Amino acid sequence: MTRRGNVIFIVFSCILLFLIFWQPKAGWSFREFLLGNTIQRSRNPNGILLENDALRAELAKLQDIKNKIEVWSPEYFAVPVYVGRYPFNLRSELTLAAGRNEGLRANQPVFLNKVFIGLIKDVFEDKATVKTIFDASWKSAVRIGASGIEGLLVGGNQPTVTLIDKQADVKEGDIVYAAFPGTPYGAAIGEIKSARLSQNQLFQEAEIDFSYQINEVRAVLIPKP
Amino acid sequence: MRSTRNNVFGKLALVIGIAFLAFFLTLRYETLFGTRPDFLLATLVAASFFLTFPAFVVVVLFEIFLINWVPVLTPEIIVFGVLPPVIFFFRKIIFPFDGWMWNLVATFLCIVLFYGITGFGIALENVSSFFGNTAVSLMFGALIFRLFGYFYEEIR
Repeated sequence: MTRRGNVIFIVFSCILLFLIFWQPKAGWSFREFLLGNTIQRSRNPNGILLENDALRAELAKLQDIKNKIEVWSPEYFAVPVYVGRYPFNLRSELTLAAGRNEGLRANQPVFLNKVFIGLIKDVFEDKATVKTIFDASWKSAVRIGASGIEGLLVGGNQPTVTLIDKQADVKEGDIVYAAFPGTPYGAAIGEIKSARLSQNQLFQEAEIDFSYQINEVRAVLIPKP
Repeated sequence: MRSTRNNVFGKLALVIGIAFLAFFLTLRYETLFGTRPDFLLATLVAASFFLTFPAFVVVVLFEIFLINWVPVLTPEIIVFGVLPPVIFFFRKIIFPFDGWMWNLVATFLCIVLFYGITGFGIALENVSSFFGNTAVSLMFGALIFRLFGYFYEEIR
């Protein structure tokens, strides 16, 4: 190996180190290019909001909610999401490409097409992490369907609604929505997939069907303060 | 068709091209099957048999650039960057193994160590995916090793 060769390899290494530490987004953009996606598309808030129409139609069935509470309709801003960490595509945490500089705060709710997916956990200057409902430690109060059946959403790879009254009439397709402080009441979470008695036979439990793949989330909506 | 010249830049260009292909195939495999194989690790292990250390470092950094998708270096990326050089030096200093069989063993050990250090629990929860990905990665590594071996001699 000649000295010239070594110098060239050192130069290559320095360039790559610069890209890794100071321009990691270049690798991300490259990956998006290979997959045929573009960051620009995911940053288009109008495109994301339009997809929400179908879900809003579904939510309109909850007449009990709409009659009893003021409809919450804040403005949102779209925030791109970094792709999951190699090699694990963990569903319990998302990293956002925005932070304190863009006005994000801890415990802000995070939405995907106005479907609630989690809360902001840590906020840094230009990035933030989100704890999603797929985190095993996630527990929050929810309600089910037009009659507002109470339950406890327990996170994990397959989030489940537990502590449902044994006599409650929970059906497949019933909408599950948020009912805990810090999140807009009535924010959609998913639909009931199936319900069964709990192991101790005292309550019902229900699996939730989601209309999205958390691994494929490329941008989220954060309500403007 | 083995080159008898020590054409380091030619080797590096080939390895970089294979690393790029491995990255692309990893993404496509994930899109199709929902799991992520370790083609990149397999490429690094195979490359350690044919490259000098400076060239090997360039390939390791290139692959880290490709997979470092969050704005900080995660423990997984650090382990990914350390393990292949450990294999490289183990081969150089402690036990100079060579040949396609040892490439398979080294690739398997690298993958097991990687998940053992970074996500043992996650691998245990998805044992069938883990072994499926490992098998596919070993096949890829064997192919890459044969391809490198067709063009260049192993460095002992």
